[in-house]
Amino acid sequence: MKRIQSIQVRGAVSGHLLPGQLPGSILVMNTSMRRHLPLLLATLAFLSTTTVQAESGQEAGCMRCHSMKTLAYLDSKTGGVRNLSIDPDAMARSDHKKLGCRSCHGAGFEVYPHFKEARLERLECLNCHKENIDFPHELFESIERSFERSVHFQTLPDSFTCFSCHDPHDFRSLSKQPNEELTTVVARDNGVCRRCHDTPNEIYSKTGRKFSPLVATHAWLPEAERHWDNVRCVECHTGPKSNRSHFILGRNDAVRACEACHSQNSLLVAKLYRHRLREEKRSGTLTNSSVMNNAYVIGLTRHPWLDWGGIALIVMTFLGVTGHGLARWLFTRRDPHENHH
Amino acid sequence: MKTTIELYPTWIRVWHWSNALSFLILIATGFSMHFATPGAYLIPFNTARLLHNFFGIVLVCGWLIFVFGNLRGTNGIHYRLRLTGLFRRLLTQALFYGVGIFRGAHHPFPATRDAKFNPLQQVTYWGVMFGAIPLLILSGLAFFFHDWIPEQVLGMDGLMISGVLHYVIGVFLTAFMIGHIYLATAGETVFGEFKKMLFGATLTEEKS
Ligand code: HEC
Ligand code: HEC
Ligand code: HEC
Ligand code: HEC
Ligand code: HEC
Ligand code: HEC
Ligand code: HEC
Repeated sequence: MKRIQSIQVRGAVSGHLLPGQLPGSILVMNTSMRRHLPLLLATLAFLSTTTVQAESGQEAGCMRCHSMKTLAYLDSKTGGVRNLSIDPDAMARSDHKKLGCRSCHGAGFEVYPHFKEARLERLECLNCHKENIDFPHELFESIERSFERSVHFQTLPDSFTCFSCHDPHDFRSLSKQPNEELTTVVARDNGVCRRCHDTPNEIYSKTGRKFSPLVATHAWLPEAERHWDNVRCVECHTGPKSNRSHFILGRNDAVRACEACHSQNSLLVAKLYRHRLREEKRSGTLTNSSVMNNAYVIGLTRHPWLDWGGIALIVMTFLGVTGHGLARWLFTRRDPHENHH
Repeated sequence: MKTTIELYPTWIRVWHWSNALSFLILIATGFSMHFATPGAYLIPFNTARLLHNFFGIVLVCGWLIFVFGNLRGTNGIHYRLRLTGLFRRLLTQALFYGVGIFRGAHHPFPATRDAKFNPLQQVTYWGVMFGAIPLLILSGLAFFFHDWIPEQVLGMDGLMISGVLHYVIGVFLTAFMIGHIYLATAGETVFGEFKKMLFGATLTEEKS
């Protein structure tokens, strides 16, 4: 089998993906390559080596190409662009930051062009994270159970996997980020869902299921966008009780009651705010302050002093005027004539 | 020469009772949102929100009418604080409510055309209309126009200060309303003041 022997790209390349549009770029490809990759996104500037000998720290080797933002090709199977770029900063912050590329990816990627067989590798989160005491696993096994009962898996068992939502190269779990801005967490987690659900047409073209835009299906929720800046989709879409963010329920079981969040025993305390509360409990400063430090949520953000103070003031005023009125009544009864002298 | 004036012209009475209604509804809905509990609420959260929004706007309109009405007409005179001797006058009025009223003493400051309020009323109404209500309105508008307020203040959500302020003022105004309704029974007769506010009251004075 012939493989690409060299890739030479001259001239600065940015943005555009079609090799033909790159002035002066010479792309040497074999025919099978052409068929598979009508667009080999040749932002591989300055590469003239025939093989990429992975340097001792392989990351550097892989990232020489894969950190390029425009590295992608048009996937003939799905018709979509397959993005091959890995954001090194995100990777460095991710839960997998300690792992090298090759801890997960096979030896076939060590050379360039990658072995064709290498692309057949099927990596799964659960290949590593299940029944394997060397890797974190308990959480994942319960997540898998939830996931398998979720609407997504139930309706599309073949095409929905963990990767539909998680990119192993930048995944970081909420529990690991107790100090991160909550709005950042929310934006990231909601980004997962919105990647698909903001483009209902795409869902339609792939599954034939027609969704209205989110703002229309959530028109009953006042200031929906503002809510989505502050709470996650999974808060409502996994039911009010437990924190099983992978057990996405059908639309009819989604939380609609405002009081589910806007109250003292808000589901937010069990879900979104849970790690923060746990963190504070550990450091022994559990007051309402953790709730106080998050968003102001009517019904949830309450301080016991202010609540009791307010109630006391009202009760005292009430008792005061009742006592005064009673006294007035008693005095005028005792001496009705004196009233109008 | 005798002059007769209307102490409670129609616009004041309409304004007053629209305020009274708004207050009652805002208190009930505000209370049920602040103390919202699934399954055990006065008014369902979303209904309470809609009512609170609507009557909040009614209150704002009322306040604007109040300000412009008093700037233009003669009613504003009753809100002109005279500071000299204010403390003494307040004390006199407080002594009346604390002692004199039980003995059937006369009201120390009967209504006149320049001062229909007694000193205690004047100071309280002044504080309510020019202090508490504007702050209440501003902190309430902050919920509507959250883009206008900073996202973070002192490391807290920007809404925190206005939210807590809104609650605290709401509580004080609730207490005010209770006191206000009660003291309305402490006029010459128990229901006299209510009738005046409902049907108006004229005051005839000898003018020199
Ligand atoms: C010379 C640049 C270059 C280097 C270095 C490189 N790659 Fe790639 N990689 C590519 C290109 C171009 C593609 C797309 C074409 C292909 O699949 O061969 C690709 C594709 C991939 C794919 C996706 C295959 C698919 O389509 O599913 C993976 C995974 C991958 N590389 C991993 C690695 C790893 C791991 C390393 C380091 C050990 C590495 N690459 C080093 C250029 C490079
Ligand atoms: C924790 C394991 C893991 C590590 C570490 C890892 N990857 Fe991956 N990578 C995966 C999995 C799993 C997939 C397949 C995702 C899919 O099927 O959509 C993948 C897919 C890819 C792809 C195909 C494009 C994509 O995003 O689906 C490229 C390119 C790639 N990895 C490059 C790298 C490089 C470069 C590194 C090192 C910086 C690296 N990977 C480190 C697990 C890993
Ligand atoms: C090649 C095996 C492998 C694959 C595939 C893999 N992981 Fe991991 N993962 C690991 C290892 C090893 C660690 C421990 C890393 C460390 O301790 O720094 C880890 C750590 C984690 C952690 C941190 C958990 C903890 O308690 O410390 C999370 C979360 C995680 N992975 C999620 C995922 C997700 C989501 C996927 C799929 C998108 C995935 N992993 C795929 C090997 C893998
Ligand atoms: C429909 C999208 C979706 C799918 C599919 C999905 N996840 Fe998640 N996952 C999320 C979201 C959103 C979060 C963030 C919520 C949270 O942290 O509880 C998350 C969080 C996680 C976490 C962190 C949990 C924690 O408590 O820190 C892990 C680990 C994880 N997912 C693993 C998986 C695995 C394994 C699969 C496949 C069996 C999977 N996910 C499939 C959306 C998804
Ligand atoms: C990879 C794309 C994708 C992602 C990511 C995704 N979804 Fe979906 N979702 C779909 C598709 C496709 C369907 C339609 C399934 C069907 O009925 O055919 C769907 C259906 C749904 C439904 C409707 C269920 C019903 O009643 O029929 C809900 C609710 C939902 N998703 C919520 C979420 C949430 C919450 C997230 C984030 C945690 C999420 N989705 C992430 C693709 C996605
Ligand atoms: C406050 C709770 C809440 C939040 C937050 C929320 N949803 Fe929903 N969602 C619902 C409810 C309730 C329904 C059912 C609406 C109906 O049946 O009219 C629904 C319906 C849906 C549906 C099905 C629409 C259809 O046409 O059948 C999808 C998809 C969906 N939501 C996705 C999302 C995504 C994505 C997010 C995050 C950006 C999100 N939701 C945030 C409560 C919520
Ligand atoms: C999933 C939890 C959740 C549900 C369910 C929910 N909310 Fe909220 N809501 C929030 C959070 C969190 C905020 C704070 C947003 C901010 O800080 O700007 C908020 C803010 C608001 C605000 C702006 C004032 C404020 O508190 O900051 C209004 C009004 C509101 N919600 C009304 C509703 C109504 C009405 C419903 C029911 C139809 C509802 N919400 C359901 C979580 C929720």
